[in-house]
Amino acid sequence: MNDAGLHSTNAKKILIVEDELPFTQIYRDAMHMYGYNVIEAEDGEEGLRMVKVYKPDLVLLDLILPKLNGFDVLQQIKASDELKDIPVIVYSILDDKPNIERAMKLGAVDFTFKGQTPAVEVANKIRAILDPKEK
Amino acid sequence: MTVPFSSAELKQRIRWYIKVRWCYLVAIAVPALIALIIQHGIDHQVLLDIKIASGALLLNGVMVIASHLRIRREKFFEVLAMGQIVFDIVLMTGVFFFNGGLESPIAMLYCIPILMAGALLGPQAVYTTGVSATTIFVILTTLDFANVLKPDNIVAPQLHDNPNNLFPSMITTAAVMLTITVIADFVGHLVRQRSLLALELESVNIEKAKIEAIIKTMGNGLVATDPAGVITLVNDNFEYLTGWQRHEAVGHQLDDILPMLDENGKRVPPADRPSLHISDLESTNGRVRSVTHYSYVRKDGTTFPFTSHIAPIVFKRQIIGLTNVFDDVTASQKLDQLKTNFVALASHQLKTPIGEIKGYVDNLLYGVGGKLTKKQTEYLGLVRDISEHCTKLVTDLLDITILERGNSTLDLKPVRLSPIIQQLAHIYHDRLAKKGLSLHIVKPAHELTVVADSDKLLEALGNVLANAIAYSKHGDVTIQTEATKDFALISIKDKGKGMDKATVSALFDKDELLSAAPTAEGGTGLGLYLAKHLVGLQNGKISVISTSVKGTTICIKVPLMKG
Repeated sequence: MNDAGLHSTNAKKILIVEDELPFTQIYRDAMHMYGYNVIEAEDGEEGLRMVKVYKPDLVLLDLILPKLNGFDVLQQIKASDELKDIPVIVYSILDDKPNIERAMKLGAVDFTFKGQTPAVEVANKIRAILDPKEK
Repeated sequence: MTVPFSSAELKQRIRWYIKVRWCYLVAIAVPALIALIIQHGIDHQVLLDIKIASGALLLNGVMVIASHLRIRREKFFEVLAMGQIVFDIVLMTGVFFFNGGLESPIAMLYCIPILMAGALLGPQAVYTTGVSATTIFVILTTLDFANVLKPDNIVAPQLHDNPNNLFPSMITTAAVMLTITVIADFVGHLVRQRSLLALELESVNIEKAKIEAIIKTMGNGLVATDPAGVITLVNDNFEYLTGWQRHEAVGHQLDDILPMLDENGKRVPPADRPSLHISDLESTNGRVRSVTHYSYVRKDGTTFPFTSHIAPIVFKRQIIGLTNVFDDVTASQKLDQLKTNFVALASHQLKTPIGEIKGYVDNLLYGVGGKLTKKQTEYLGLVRDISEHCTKLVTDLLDITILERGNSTLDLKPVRLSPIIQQLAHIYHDRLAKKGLSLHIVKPAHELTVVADSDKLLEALGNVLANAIAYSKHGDVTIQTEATKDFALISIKDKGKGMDKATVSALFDKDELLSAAPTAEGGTGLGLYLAKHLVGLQNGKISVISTSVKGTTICIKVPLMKG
């Protein structure tokens, strides 16, 4: 677990579940620019555990993950009464339609393509979800 | 007169004919002369006969030698044959004339072999010889008895002794000669037919031997059935692929020996088996039909996926059976799967680092790393463009691999065209603006609805539009939609530099595209190839009109919704 960047206790917490560390860094830096706190997990199991422990304000979830894939993580979050209201943005390197549809059906709020949509735009989306008034 | 043989056998037959004629001449003339000498000694008349006979033997002997010369021209042999026929006519006429027709058995002995030998060359040769000799004999005999010919009594003296016998003798001789001619032709006909049959049989046997060798050595399994589906023939590879021995298979129903499973592993009932569907094949006009995506069950119960080619055996416009040539495609399917997996893996492995580069650069461009100078922004913008291009290339390659395997899912539905075109304009707005191009959309009078997969149609149109943008330096790009009876035509027209014919034909060929140098204009080069596949999947067609002056127009045809 890495709790880098927990600067402000008031700031909203974003959990990034991502096994490719460069991507983690890219998203983390963009989130920091928007003033979010970032916590990070490197695999599906760790991600799920951290959702339960930290109850982040939003989860940025990669679909292809070691140990437990993104669909399973999403399904388990949505199956838990305690966690199901946490918005989850799913993203993947593979931009195929069935995956998007499946993730949206499972309850993801949005879908984004890793490596195509700039991280700052993802942060914008997150702001639109978490702080709709600021938009 | 022409010799009635133009086949490759002509020379051989003419050689036989001339040689047979010479042998008969020797066989008959030599004993006759010896008999004459024994009977009369060598007097003036016998000496003349010896001279004539020697001359004839010599002349015919020369023809025998000539017929064996290695001369390629068929005309030479035709002339030789005609020479021999003329020679025969003279000989027959002379023998009859000087020996008193029917009165002389020697004349008959000459007549039969001459006509028989003539039969080798066919009816024309026989009748020409027989009828000409008869006619000349009748004319000469008549002239002789009318005392026109001098000296007197050159025809058989026994007839001159009793001129009343002349007319019946002449008629009988002519009738016998003509009868022999007809019989000779008939016998010759039988002989020729028999030799023709023998030749045909030989060539059939040669073909049979060839086909047997092909069937034996072919790498595929082969099974032939009668119209009722009973196995009539299998080859060695059939035994190898299915586990059934020939004697176990032949005579049994194909469906019992080689059950067929569909893609879900369910047994295909005999009535639905493509390889047993005769009425279906009749409608295909005897063409080969290919069957894929099915499996056969071996004798031991294991299965294998196959591809097979089925053709009807047609005889006298009737289907008398079917041949089915099949192959076990387990290995190639596995290889195909490996290839797809490899490309998918490689694409994924490539996409990740490229995406990471772009991610960092995007962050920098969005100011995550602090303020940038103008030059830094420019450079980073270029790095981002290059990484986007790389991503597109990898995506195209992955799409092509999926399309070529034919297992992309297609969702054909009625699709309205104008929203698709709008979406296209929206997606490519920035790219057009960046190059200073404007987009003109020419709409049809009425909204068109086509049957297509909207995502795949959008991707195909996008690839064509991207190509038009990449190759345009100025002016505008036009998207025009119009309708024909059954199709919607979407033309994307640019004012770029156009293409020559070779470039146009290479556009849709992946191998050519991949071997070509990278394009300076920034396309991946695979876009149009992909577009062609995508449009083809949707029962459409893509065509290119290009001139170096007016630019390029690419036209996509998609079926209109009926009704």
